[in-house]
Amino acid sequence: MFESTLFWIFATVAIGAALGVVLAPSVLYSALSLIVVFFSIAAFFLLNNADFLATAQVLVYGVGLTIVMLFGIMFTGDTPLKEKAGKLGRLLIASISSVALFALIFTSVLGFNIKQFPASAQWIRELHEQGSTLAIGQLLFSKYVLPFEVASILLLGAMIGAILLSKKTFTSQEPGLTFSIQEGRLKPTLSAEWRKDVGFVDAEVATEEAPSSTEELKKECSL
Amino acid sequence: MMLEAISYTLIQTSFGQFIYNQNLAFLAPELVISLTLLMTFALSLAKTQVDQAKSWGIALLGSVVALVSIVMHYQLFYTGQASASQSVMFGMFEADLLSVVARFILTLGFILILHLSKRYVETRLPSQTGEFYTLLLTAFLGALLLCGANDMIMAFVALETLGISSYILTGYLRNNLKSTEASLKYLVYGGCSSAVLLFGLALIYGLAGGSTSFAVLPQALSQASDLGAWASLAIVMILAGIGFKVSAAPFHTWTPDVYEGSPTPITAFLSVISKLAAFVFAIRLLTPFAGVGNENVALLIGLLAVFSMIVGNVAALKQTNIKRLLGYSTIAHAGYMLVGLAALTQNSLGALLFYLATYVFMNTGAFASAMIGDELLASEDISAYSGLIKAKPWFVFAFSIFLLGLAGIPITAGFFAKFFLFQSVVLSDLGNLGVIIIALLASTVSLYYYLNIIKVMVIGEPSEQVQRLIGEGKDSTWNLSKTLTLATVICLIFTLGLGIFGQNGLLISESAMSDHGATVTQNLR
Amino acid sequence: MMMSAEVAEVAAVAGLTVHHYLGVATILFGLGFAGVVSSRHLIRTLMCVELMLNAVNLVFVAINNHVNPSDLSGQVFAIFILTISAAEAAVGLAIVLALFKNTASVDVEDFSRLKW
Repeated sequence: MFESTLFWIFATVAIGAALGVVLAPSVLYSALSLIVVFFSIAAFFLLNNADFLATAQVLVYGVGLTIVMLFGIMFTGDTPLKEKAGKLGRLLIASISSVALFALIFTSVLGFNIKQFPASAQWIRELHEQGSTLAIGQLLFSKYVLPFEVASILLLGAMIGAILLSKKTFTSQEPGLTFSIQEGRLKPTLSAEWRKDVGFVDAEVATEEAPSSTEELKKECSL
Repeated sequence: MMLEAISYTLIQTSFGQFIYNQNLAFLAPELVISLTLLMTFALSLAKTQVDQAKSWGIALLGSVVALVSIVMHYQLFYTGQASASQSVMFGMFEADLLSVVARFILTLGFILILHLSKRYVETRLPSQTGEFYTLLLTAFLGALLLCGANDMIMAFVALETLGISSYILTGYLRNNLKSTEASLKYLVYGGCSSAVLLFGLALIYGLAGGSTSFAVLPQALSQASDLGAWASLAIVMILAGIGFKVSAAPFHTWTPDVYEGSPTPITAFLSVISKLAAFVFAIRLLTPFAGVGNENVALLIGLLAVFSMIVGNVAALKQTNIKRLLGYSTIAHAGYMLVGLAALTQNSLGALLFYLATYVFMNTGAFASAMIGDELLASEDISAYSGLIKAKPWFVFAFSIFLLGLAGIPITAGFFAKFFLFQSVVLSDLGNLGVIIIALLASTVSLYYYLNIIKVMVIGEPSEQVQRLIGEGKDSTWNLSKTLTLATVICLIFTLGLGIFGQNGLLISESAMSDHGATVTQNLR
Repeated sequence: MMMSAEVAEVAAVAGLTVHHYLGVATILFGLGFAGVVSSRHLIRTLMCVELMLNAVNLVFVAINNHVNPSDLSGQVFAIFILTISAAEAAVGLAIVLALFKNTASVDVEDFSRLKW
């Protein structure tokens, strides 16, 4: 009884927050309600004897991933998008297609009894007492060790890729920042690409306004 | 003698025992590729471009070693030293003739794509050569593992290794708007499709009684006599996921955009390696369904096939960009291949594997030609190719052969591949005649746009760019990339050679399939 | 007789079956899909993809617990999905930032240089 009360509470919260993710006016609110969804799914995991997974869910999704998302929102600025016609049509298409998808899955999933293989009472008791961490660890490092290793290579690739896509391009022919001595003073020059990145509108103006004092130079480099 | 003693001592250690018991030797190509990608990654940290450029050589060396080890595995299976199917690493990976043959074709295709990318990478983003090859090798590793994955978790991880590296590589020209935009579209579509695929896998996981192995699928499916809506839904969702990967209509919408936007070697990679691996995955996952007489599977795949053939061929008719046109032609080819998959008999699957092998060479050749054309004419528009025969007759000859192969004209391998495929499908069940007629009509339509390019190149008035080429004549400072030429010549040889020695290739792929079929039947018992 | 049948029915409603979780997961999945289709903000699109993947995670864990709790492979699968979708989100965000640097926009409708 207690469990089903919890289920209904968290189900309401999860669905309400998921609606918030889709419909919130500002993308910042979407990100915040996404955290709520992640936490309620972690609660569902706990109800399903998946304590390790619930912890991982909170750590990876609830904290890590949403912070990454919030960083993304910070970088791009939470400016409201220009109002454009066709918003209603978009919502209509989205709701029709997703309701169709939902109905398809719902009707075919709910009407079927899958064969169940109940575990022994002792196993369930051990799972309740010790948690699932030990069992999952044993599976990960014996049976599923090959996908585990491949996942590490995948993460390496994703890391390289994320850095590759977001870092600036400099070559030895065209370094980002060069120094020359003019009239006895150190004069820095930014490459055209970096200038564009930092946000100088006009290349010519930027060269003229190149900083001369060390403080200004530092300030520019930190950009 | 010495070697035997050493290997005997090694096997006695506990790690040696582990390697021996888990048949780790059959993962040699994957291990070599992993090592290679770590080496190229280390090189990518090098300061100078000269050091970075070495990563191409390392990648090539690694894939050649992988190819040699695959050939050695084939020897083992061929001479009967290894039994038909070897379970590697606790059943995660299935080393059988199917995986060996598929990985052989994959590795050949990958070596060609390495040749395609050398000049391209050196000129476009020279400071990031090392990273490019690292990511390319990562994607290739995913594709290799997908060929033998015999477990849902393994298949998913391999699929995503292939997928995520492809998203990054698509956006590799990150200052090019088209490239980043293509990358984003690919990622959003890919994320959705993998979510749908996973939902389907979760339902199958429930049907199989909480086991992730493909090996238990035949038995679980045959026992659950009343599969009902649950299984149908699972199949629909899995087919949606696979349809995305092989770019079958109606899940094809990303294909033209991504093909046009991404760097051309990556386009070739997506259309060849990604597609081949996804088809092998589909074969492994779907053959158990054939045993239980579930006609929904055949019907759904047939529908996908018909959609793809119609959409791909009709949309290709009005394309003006060569890469976009090849993108739509890829969709159409996915349709032909799905016809073979829909029949789900050993002969049709064998013919499908042979089709994939010829497709690798024809399509890589076509993309190599598009790259040469881009270097020559600095344009991807088909109209720029007009009258090219007056300037570069040999190039026009090679490109025409690839296009004729894709269209399925006799003498080229494309004709035999199509012929074997359609023949095996009709022979398996005369009821499939309708699909075959649609396929034949669709290939007739495809003749129009393939031959149109050849017509433009041969009898068209020379375009501006071609006139410039003719004007430059022999004094042209332009030099063709040697590796690109080599890749084109190899593709040409295989496109013609596989046509002549087609029967042998077909025999090999059919024996691979019959071994696989035997394993599935064995699991049923 | 009537009483006991009613009691049994009530017990079935109160006890949680796998279908309860599947229902919630399906709703979340559908909402995520609707978000991907309808959202104009790129980062929200990425968040909705994560929502769909999370719904799938719930399906795996629920089926694991109700169908075959003595083999935790469903939970292991969920861990892999968790890892990989986090990597995918990171890559997705890097791509969004690269696009933003070039166009100063995160509006989906601004990205139509390639015909959809």
